[in-house]
Amino acid sequence: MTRDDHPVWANLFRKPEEKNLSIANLWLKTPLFDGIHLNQCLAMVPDMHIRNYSPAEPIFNMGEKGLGVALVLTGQVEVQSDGKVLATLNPGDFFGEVALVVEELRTADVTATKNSEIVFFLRPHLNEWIAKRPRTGAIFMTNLARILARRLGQANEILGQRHE
Amino acid sequence: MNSWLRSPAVQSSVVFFAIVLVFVFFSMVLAPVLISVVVSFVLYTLLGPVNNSLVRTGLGRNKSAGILLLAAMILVGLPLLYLVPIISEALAGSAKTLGSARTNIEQVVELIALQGAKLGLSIDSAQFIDVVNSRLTKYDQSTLISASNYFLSVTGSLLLVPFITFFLIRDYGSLRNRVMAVLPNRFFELGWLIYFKVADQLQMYVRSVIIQQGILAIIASIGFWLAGYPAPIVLGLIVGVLSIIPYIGPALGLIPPLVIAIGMEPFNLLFLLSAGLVIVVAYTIDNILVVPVLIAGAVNLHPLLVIVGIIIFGNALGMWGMILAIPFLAVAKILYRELFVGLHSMHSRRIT
Repeated sequence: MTRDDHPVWANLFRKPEEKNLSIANLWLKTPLFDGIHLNQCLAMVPDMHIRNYSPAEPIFNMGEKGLGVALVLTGQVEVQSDGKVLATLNPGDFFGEVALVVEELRTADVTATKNSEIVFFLRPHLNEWIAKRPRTGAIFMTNLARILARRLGQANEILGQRHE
Repeated sequence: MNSWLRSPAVQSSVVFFAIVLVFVFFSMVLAPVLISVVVSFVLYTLLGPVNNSLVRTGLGRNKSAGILLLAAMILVGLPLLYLVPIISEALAGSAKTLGSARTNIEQVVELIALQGAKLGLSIDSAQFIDVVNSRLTKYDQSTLISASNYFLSVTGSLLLVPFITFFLIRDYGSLRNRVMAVLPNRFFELGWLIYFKVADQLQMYVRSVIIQQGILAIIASIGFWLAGYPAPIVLGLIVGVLSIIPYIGPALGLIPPLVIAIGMEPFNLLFLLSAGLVIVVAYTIDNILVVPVLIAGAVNLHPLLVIVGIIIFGNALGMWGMILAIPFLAVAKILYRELFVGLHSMHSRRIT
């Protein structure tokens, strides 16, 4: 997508509610929000942060403290480690979810490859949300645990293959 | 750019002092309503968990904030309704009690001189009484009127508190998000990380101090009630509130009961000494049981740093400096440490 495909003024005249709805719908398609109702997700969106990145601009680097999960709203980003591309993420993909649980250092570099809009959902906002809506918060945390367990299984598999 | 200018220590220091300057600038701009804003933030911190509970029951943001506005009005209004007449009366009445206080002070000084003489100490009671009399003459009616006016202006600005608290509960989150949106992409997560750590530290400190003051006020009130002082709750509240001023708070809390005891007719030395005993007992319980459990966990500062900080801040800003020294130092420590760690990780990334 070029800058012409995504003019700046398009967002200026877009109603915030409409934008929030598209963010909520995108989150709902991810396994993080399985079993969470649209209205509950919509209530969280005002506490999420939309950031705009230019091509080749780093979103975060390995070794920096992470604070939250990020969702690609528009554009494209690349996940790299030691200069090797591990994954290319498109709208609807999310990354950095480990930071929702613990204050750990980021384990990979993530860089925008096109003009991109990234939505951040930060750990302290998640904690506030859990305090206000514990039932929905519990569903979210179960989803997160499932994703992290799956990632752990995949990592173990890769380590096992290396040892063989 | 010189390499030392790009070092994390220098960059952290520059950003740190820039943030302090912005804070000082806003404090100066908000000076006319600073007391109201500070008290509102304290109430907002206290009512935050209540707001979460209300939202949990299914109430919307506006309804929840409305209920808490009522709570804030009651929290601020009721003590004011109770205290304003008592304190105004006390200020107006103090001029009348000055006469009897003068006689009683003379009696106390003569008693001390007499006891001192028995122990072989020579105390010039006449000279001491002259000094006290000259000081009391300066403490004339005009001083009392200006103290009364100051009290009324503080009361007036406190009336704004419930409304500021209402808007903080309703809109603070979105206002904060808008302000933080100005952060550049590179420092977005670092900025929020520092904000949340500072906010957590301040909230914990404010909640701990309020609970500690409450416990101290209850102990002192019971003590004054047992000793037979009039308005023991007011005297206990004054002791609790003034305890926020490090080191001189206990002495300031002792002044109102001492004034009452000195102005009493007939003068009773035991009654006067009981005020000191109440303060000593209340602060002993506070320092042995309450402070180590509540405050020590809230701020992790070296005692020497606290003492030096209070002296420097007190010297620069007076009473407010002494009150703000501990939270400022606690916040400054987190701010600088997190800035340094964050910028250091970015710097080492650039080098490798």
